[in-house]
Amino acid sequence: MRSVGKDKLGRSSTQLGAEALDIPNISLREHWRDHFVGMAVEAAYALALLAAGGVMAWAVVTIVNAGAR
Amino acid sequence: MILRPSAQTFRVVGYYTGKVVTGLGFLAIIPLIVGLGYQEWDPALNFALGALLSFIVGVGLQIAFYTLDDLTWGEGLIVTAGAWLWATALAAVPTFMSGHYGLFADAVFDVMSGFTTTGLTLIQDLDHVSYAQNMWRHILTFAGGQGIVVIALTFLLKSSAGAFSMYKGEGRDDRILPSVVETAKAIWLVAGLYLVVGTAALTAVNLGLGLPFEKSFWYGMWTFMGAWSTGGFAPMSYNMLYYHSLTFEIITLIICIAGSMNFALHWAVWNGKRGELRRNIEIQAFTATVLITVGLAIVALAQTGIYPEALAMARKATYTVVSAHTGTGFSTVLSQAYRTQWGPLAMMVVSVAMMLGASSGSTAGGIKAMRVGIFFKAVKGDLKRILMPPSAVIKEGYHHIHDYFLDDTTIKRVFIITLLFLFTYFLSGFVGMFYGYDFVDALFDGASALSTTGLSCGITDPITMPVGLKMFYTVLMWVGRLEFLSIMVLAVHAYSIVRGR
Repeated sequence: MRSVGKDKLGRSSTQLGAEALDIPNISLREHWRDHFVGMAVEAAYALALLAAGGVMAWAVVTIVNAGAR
Repeated sequence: MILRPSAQTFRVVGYYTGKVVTGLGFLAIIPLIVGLGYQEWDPALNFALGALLSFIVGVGLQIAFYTLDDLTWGEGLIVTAGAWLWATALAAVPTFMSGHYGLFADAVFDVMSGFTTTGLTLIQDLDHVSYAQNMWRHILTFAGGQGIVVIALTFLLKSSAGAFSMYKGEGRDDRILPSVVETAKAIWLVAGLYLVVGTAALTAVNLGLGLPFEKSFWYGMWTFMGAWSTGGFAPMSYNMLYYHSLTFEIITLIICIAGSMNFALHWAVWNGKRGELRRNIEIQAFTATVLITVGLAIVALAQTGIYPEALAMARKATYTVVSAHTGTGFSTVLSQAYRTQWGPLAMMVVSVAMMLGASSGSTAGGIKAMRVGIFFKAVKGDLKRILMPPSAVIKEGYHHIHDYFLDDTTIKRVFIITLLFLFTYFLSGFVGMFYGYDFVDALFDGASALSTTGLSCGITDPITMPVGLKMFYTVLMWVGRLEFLSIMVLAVHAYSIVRGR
């Protein structure tokens, strides 16, 4: 976005546009950092889901084996 | 009374359909380049002809029906439903010319499966397919996952109300940026970044498994495309069983889960709103149903006793159920083994996982987590109304990027679409029985087609599957991907041409 002026509070039109769209007015570096952290958070959620499957399988197999003995 | 479409409707629909079909022509250039690079002259020629055909039809439609008018809401839906058929028919031409299909209907089936990110396939001798053809299969599924209208929106269309209706018709409900074209570009940004990271990770695993670099890269990229788009196509006939690697399975499942998330959720999490992942109704519902179905599958498999060790059972059950639930269809179990080893109970659990599906506004199919979540919120609200004093004001709400109150209109829409899905699931089971298959088997493959998943218990086979069932599944995939609305509008307009006034 290109800044073309400022309002009475000193906010640029770029900043105002970003606020109106609910997009944080941050640097490009922070922007990409957020993207990669977001990706890592999503991967962590997926891993937790898979780990839960492993725990359930372990629990069921333990119970079944105990029953068999 | 249904109004007969006017000449202007035909003009606008024809013009915008031409735009979408032209976009398909650009897609065919990618396998053409791969074919030329590997000196695969015959496949390259097929894709050159395929691209040319799409350009001729697409540009021809644009010239013949040239207009400056925008689409109305209904016309946008007709373009979407129709363009998916046009694109499938045209993309099936170079697919069929590869020589790997017995019938043109088989090629149409595979293209529809690719575009709708299903993953069921009728290809023959998959292990000896050219690089160009494999690129084409995976490009179809990757591009189809983002949406063929999204492709047209990215490159060929201007943002308008009509463009938004086409976008909605493709089953997407998120417009996170002010312009729908900007949203389409943001969808590609998320997919593109995941493509780079996912391909690099899978290539590294393949290298570790001993595959040469070239194969490691292509197989890594194609597997990523199949996983991210929740498509399920893979370059080898053994699908994920080919790799025999726990690391490979974990990475592919992470990509499948990420690919099955709502795009608006990605955008929120990627822009600092990381708590959204915890509060979002779709993630809450998806987490609950995945845990329940994985748990049920483990109990069902424990009953059969085929996987006595916990790790082996966790690998098979979690991989299959998560793959089914996200609508991917990657498999570490041979098709026939579902019938011969897993048995009816585990198969029904997997079928239910496929039916439930993942998030709306993603590439996943099925009833979807949003509807499941709203269904339970609605039940909870009604229970509260019964239990609380009559004067109590009960308002259920849910969180999806923003907070919403649950109103009767939303609940009604959720129930209508859910019932349509359930009715069609059972219909698929009955049609399968008509062709001589058991109900559980027929429901498994039927649910797989309608929820655009791609797991098969062996019914989907190029040789033994009846042609009528192949065509029925092709329609199921189309209906499942576009979620009824666009197709019903198209059907009503087709009817009105014959009978309306």
